[in-house]
Amino acid sequence: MTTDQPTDAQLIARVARRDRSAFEQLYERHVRHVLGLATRLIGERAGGEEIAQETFWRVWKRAESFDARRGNFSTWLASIVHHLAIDELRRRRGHAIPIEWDADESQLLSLPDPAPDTQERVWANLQGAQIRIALAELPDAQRQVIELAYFEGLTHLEISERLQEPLGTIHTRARLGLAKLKELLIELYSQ
Amino acid sequence: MQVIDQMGFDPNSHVDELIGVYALDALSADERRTVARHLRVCSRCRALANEALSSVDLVAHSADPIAPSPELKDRLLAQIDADLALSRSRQQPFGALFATPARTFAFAVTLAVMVGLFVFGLSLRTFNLPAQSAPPGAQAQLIAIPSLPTGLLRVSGLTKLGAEQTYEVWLIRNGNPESALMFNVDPEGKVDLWVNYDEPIGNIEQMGITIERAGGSSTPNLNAFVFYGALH
Repeated sequence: MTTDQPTDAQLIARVARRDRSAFEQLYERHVRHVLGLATRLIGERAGGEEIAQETFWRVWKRAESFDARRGNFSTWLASIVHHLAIDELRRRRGHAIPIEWDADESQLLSLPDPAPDTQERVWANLQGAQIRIALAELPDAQRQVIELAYFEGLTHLEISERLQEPLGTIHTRARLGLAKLKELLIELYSQ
Repeated sequence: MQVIDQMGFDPNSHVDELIGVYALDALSADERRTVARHLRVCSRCRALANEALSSVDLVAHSADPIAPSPELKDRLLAQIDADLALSRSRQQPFGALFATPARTFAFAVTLAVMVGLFVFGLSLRTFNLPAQSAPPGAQAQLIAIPSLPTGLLRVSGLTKLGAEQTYEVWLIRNGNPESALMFNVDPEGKVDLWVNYDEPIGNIEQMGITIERAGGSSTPNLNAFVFYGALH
């Protein structure tokens, strides 16, 4: 991104003031990733487009709730996609466990982001394929828990039942798997 | 909070073990709320949660980008234009916005055009009724979305009638005329009126305006059509 282009934070601040052109710029900048993630989560293109449309609609309606001091825009956007898609997946499975959007949104934004460092810059330049390689390198048991939770929207109870493992084991695998993912990415790509 | 309660979870104790499933959105709403409450007051667990959440952000970016269809942007921008139009209308005095049928219709049409055209595939049409015995220059237009049961009739150039007469609007389908409404024009010969039908306007085959005795008629005076024509 060249220096004369507005940052995401600048654009979302303008969107909060009902600036349609700023919204269009954010859309053009992020829609491919949003649609890619939504389609990956929902498992089909039409459903992915519906989630993507609802995601950007929420960006428009809730732009004022985004606080750039507490997190970056793409993380916020990905969390919206994920919440919407998981709600839809759980609804399709006949679940009544909607993720409470407002609570989640405020929760995420209430967590101050760590200051950008070398590792953060590494993350920013990673491509999807590189992250998939690192995911594949995780111990199977940890990767399985991450994928069942993130991509299939299973709760920890459901994962425990599915894998016939104690709940505590699922918690540990999720925590260790997420930490290990970063370690692997540093090993693979920070040289 | 069922599981947390079963585990004997104390809201004041650290939540290390739950950080991974929390970051992955794998807790119930109650469980999430309990963890979030703790994170608000515990910087140690909050730092762990940040780490886990940034890893989840990486997982999110493992999906390959996909180019959207042009329609996705069209639909979104149509939604946003409608939202902006609604916001602007809210800033106007209510009375001003709906002071006349024309203004009300203009507002409805603005929304319909912006949302309907793109999202629902609706189309706005103007039907010009052919003059029969109307004064030169007189016009009657029905502006409507054919799939909706309401349209705006805009009349101009007619003579204002005396108390003993009325203009009557006829909607005709399968050869059967139904009286829709009666009206008179203002001193300038104009009037804007809502026309309501019990089916989509597009189902009406012909439309006419006659001059009848005050109080209206059950059938149109065939010799008194001011305007008459097909709506196709």
